[in-house]
Amino acid sequence: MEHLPDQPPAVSPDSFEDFFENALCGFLIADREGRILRANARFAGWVGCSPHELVGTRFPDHLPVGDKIFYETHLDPLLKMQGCFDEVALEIAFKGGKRLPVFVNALERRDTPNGVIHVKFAIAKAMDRRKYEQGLLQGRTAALASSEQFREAVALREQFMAILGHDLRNPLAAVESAMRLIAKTPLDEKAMGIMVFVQQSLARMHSLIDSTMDFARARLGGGIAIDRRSVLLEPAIRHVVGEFRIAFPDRTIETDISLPEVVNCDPQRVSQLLSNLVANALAHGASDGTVKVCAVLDGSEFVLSVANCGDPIPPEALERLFQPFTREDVRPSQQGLGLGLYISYEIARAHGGDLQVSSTPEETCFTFRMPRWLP
Amino acid sequence: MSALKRNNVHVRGKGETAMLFAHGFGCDQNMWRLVAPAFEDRYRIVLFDHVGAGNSDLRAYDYSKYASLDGYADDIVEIGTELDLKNAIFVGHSVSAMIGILAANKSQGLFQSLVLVSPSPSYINEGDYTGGFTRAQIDELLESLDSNHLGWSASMAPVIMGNPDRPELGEELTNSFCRTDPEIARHFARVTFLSDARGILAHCRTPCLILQCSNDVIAPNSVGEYLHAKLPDSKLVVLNATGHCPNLSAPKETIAAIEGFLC
Repeated sequence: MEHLPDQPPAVSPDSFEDFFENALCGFLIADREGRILRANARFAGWVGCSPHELVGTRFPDHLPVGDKIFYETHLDPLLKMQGCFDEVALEIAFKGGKRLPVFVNALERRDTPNGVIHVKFAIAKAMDRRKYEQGLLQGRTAALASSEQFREAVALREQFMAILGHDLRNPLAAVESAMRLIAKTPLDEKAMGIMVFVQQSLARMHSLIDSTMDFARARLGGGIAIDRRSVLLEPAIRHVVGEFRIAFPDRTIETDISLPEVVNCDPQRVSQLLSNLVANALAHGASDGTVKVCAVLDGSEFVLSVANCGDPIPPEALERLFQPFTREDVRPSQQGLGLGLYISYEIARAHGGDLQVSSTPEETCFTFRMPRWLP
Repeated sequence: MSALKRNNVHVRGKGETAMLFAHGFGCDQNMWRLVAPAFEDRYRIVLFDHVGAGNSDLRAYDYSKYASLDGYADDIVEIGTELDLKNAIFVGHSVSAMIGILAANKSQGLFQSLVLVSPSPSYINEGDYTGGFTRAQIDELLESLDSNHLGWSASMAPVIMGNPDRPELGEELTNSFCRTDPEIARHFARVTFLSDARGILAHCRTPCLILQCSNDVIAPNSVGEYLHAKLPDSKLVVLNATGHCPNLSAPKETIAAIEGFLC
């Protein structure tokens, strides 16, 4: 607030003069060239001189240089073209180098279309408002910077995963071939047991690295790469199911497979997707329950679904099921990185398709749908 | 993309010879609304917006292309080619005066003459040259543009404004004449106010008219005199008009000065 005199002079309540001179706004009246004809006491007080001294100067003379150039290049043209400008944020230069943030409105008065009589300026203090705006601007700048940092960190992490995954493959391949060589030599029963154990661990490591690589590719390269061709899918699907039947002899996997016509897809990726879904169903479904695999053609779509019974997936878990690194918190499991469903989802997307889940107390079912032909 | 679409080119009027009007930093082709119509009966009038201004295609704004005035000059040459302009008259305000000289130097035969309204080859004082500003003052301008004087924001809803005093304007968007993307405005300001086109003046073989305003903060009298001395073929007219935009503040005097030069 301005400091008001303790004893204001006695003025009549409807004195225009008093209003003009002492309102908490600066008022200027300028001629058609912009030269000030009359300034009020308030504005003169801000600038640090008497109203009389301002006569003949121009409004932009009282702006700091940056605002002055802005006035000449933007505001003066604006005033001339639309006859006014309003709510413009500027600063008034005080005597002694200080500045007062203000909002400025200006209005031309004219008699004929091009005959300006005079220009009126109304100038309002905006000290607190400007601080508030600057705070917002700084907040926005900081938020942009931190989200940029976050993006960089995420990109770095994903790059790191890609490189790590790639470089781990070579030593792993060396260990695998060494193990194959050892397996050809005569081994006693204990060594054979260790051998099988090591090979299982190697297989698991292999699949973890593949998942890591797929994840990194999906995130870095704009989606998982697929190699489409028109293929009869039934043998590939039966092969995946067959592998699981061998690995889990005491579990029942029912199939309903009918694929008499070709589907334009990457059969290896579709097998990978199916394998992820069946592995999940076996791991998370009721251990005595049946897993049902259904693969059919539905008009122009190929539909693959895997269903199991058992406890339903909690609603809060459903929401982030297809996000990476989603591991089941409720039940401890040894399922790896939590990338399987994410990768399956990305495979579905890469095929122009969709992966959806429904989960009820009766059944949890993942359904993959994709167009049979390229659009 | 066609330069005509990219630069929001409008052609009107009738005549053998074309007049190409180029706006400066801060506004768009509306700048010429009080001047261009006076020539429509004798000339083919070409109006356009620089990329980044007015209704130009903002997607075409390439920060490296427009890092110097050359990028803008190339656009003018392209517009000239697409419209098949030959021996046209160029009218450029403020920074566009130098862009016009660049374009004329690049493309012989495109322009028969150049009208330079409130021109300046360099805004910063250096040795004997008085551009009008110190480097520190220009830096202050570039910084002050960050304070977003007109409250531009991407999400701002347009406000339709009536002009009871100015029926010829009809209803237009408030402040829309000077509306531009703030990032682009800052970049254009930097390129404009840090440019130094003094080196190209001696190469200009095209006759020039320099329209110098009285009391122009952006381009003081000394700049007009400097240009007159350095341009090989120029005429200097000092207008009574004050400020930086005589095309808006004193259209009649501006039109008369251009007509005096052309006839």
